[in-house]
Amino acid sequence: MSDVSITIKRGEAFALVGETGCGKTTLARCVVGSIRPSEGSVTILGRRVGTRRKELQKVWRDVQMVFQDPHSSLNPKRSILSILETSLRTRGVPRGRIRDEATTLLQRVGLDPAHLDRFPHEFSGGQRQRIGIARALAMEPQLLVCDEPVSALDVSIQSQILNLLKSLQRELGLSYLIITHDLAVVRHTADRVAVMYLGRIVEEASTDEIFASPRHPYTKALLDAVPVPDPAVPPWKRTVLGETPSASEWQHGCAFRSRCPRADELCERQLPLLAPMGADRSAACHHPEDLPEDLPPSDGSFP
Amino acid sequence: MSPGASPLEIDGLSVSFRTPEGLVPAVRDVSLRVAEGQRVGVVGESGSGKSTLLLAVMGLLDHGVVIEGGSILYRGRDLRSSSAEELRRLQGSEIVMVFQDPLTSLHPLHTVGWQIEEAITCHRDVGKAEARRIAVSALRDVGLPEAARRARQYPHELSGGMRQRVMIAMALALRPSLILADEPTTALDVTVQAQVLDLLEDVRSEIGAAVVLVTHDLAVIAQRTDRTVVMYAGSIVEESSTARIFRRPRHPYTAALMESLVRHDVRPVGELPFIPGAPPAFPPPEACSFAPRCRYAEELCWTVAPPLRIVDSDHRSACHLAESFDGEGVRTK
Repeated sequence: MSDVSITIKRGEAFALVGETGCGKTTLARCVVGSIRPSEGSVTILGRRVGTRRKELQKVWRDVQMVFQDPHSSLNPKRSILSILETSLRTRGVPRGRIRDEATTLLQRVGLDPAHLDRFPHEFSGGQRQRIGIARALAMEPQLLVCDEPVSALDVSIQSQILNLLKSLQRELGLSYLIITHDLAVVRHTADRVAVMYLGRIVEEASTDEIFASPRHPYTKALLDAVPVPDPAVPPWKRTVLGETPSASEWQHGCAFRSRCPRADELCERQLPLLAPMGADRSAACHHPEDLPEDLPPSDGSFP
Repeated sequence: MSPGASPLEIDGLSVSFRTPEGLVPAVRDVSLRVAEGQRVGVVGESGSGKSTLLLAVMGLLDHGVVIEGGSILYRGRDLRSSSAEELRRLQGSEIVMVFQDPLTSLHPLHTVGWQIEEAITCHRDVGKAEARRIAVSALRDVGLPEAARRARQYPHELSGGMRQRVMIAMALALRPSLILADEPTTALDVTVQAQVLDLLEDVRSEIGAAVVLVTHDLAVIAQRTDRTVVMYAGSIVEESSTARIFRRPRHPYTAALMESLVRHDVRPVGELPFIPGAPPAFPPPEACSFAPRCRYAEELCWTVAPPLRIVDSDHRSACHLAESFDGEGVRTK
């Protein structure tokens, strides 16, 4: 991961999207303090994320993580109450109030508090993901880092969890850092998006802008490649070929040039840096995509 | 075996898991027919039985998973009564499987080139040198860069996308008449997925193979199949041409699934529709398995399991209310 800078505002949902090897998971780990960056820093609510345990413990009051796999992220030997209790006690909730607080948490994520004494295996995948969210909320964080929050869930359950994340954002004023490869998840949960490729941010914009007018050829290729559940729409247009090279294969110039239909000599010589592409958006490309002829109407419907 | 008979005909197939509590059905009375060169998509969520169905066809069910009834015919030949040796022979020559992780279907201790060569010499009447030439040529045709060098590599040295290309190269070299694919691109990046699916289609149409594509991904089904089979809790709940099903689903589950699909090309407006609850672990035999989650369920649905029946031209549905059900289908621009 190189030279990555992002700012997440209070109450904002920020998505980091990219494919294998883009660095998004590494970035998420830096944000929660489990990896130390080689250069640069992560600052949360004005407090720098350091490496010493005492510092991290303060950070973990403000930042919590929701994991991808609801099956392996909950201790199977502990009841839900017990799992929530750990976080609640860390926050300083007195023993007498634990059950009440846990009840509120389960209700908030749409689960029946009567199930507090049950064990993870008694719940479905979607319910376990809700428990994971409840556990994260137990610390009363300001920022939730969600790593592929719905990719391990059945299709008919995914929308339930996305609805929950959105309503929690509203109710509690939470900020989100959503790590995902799934553009549909981005569309439905994020206010802003950063697209990553081989460790760098190649484009950043509001969600509406990214979907309506992608400027970086990789962003456009990603959007073109996602299949659409409509037999009337012909599948994928060949805009980009091959696979992401390994980091060691790319030596100079733009990391995307080996797969980019617009790449030329300049792209081979010079690494493009993020440049403004509008009021509050940027892209790192020497030859950004043209703006579509007719930008969509202001209601944002996709052309 | 009759060459003219359809590549795959499954009739009344039932498969169950042996558990301490008794037999748990995973596939319940499934019948479907795949025509020559046809692309059939089988879509379903966890517990739908779709993967178990495919494994049953190839005799790859785990110990403790039993076929309780029904028949599986490949070109008229009964696969259930075929010996392990006969199945193995068929698997390499006329039926090729492409699974989610080819690390499990490729031998880890042989080079990918050797594996394709072996399959060729086993099933086609060519010598080793010719087999090698065909193998490298197939790897090149599937877009593997430096094909000759790659042929000498081991599966773990290749990326996921490349391994899938190797499986497709094997299909190209063997020219099977039936390709069975179970979530072939789920583990791949979306840009790689699109290329692999495109490649699979090119190869399939060139050799005229039929495909059974099992996936949870409705979008892949919509864009890459001719017929769609929807499975829920072990049974087929709807079956028709892909165009028809997406235009007008005739089962509440199919319609609800399409409605709750999170799409990247649609601007979100308010809450996303969803299907409450979750698929049943032990569906009762005398009721519709979808009734607990169905907003249209009536008394009949709770007491009589709806049979899969013809409800319209070339359209089957397992719903008591199918005729009056007016599914929305997908939003088409």
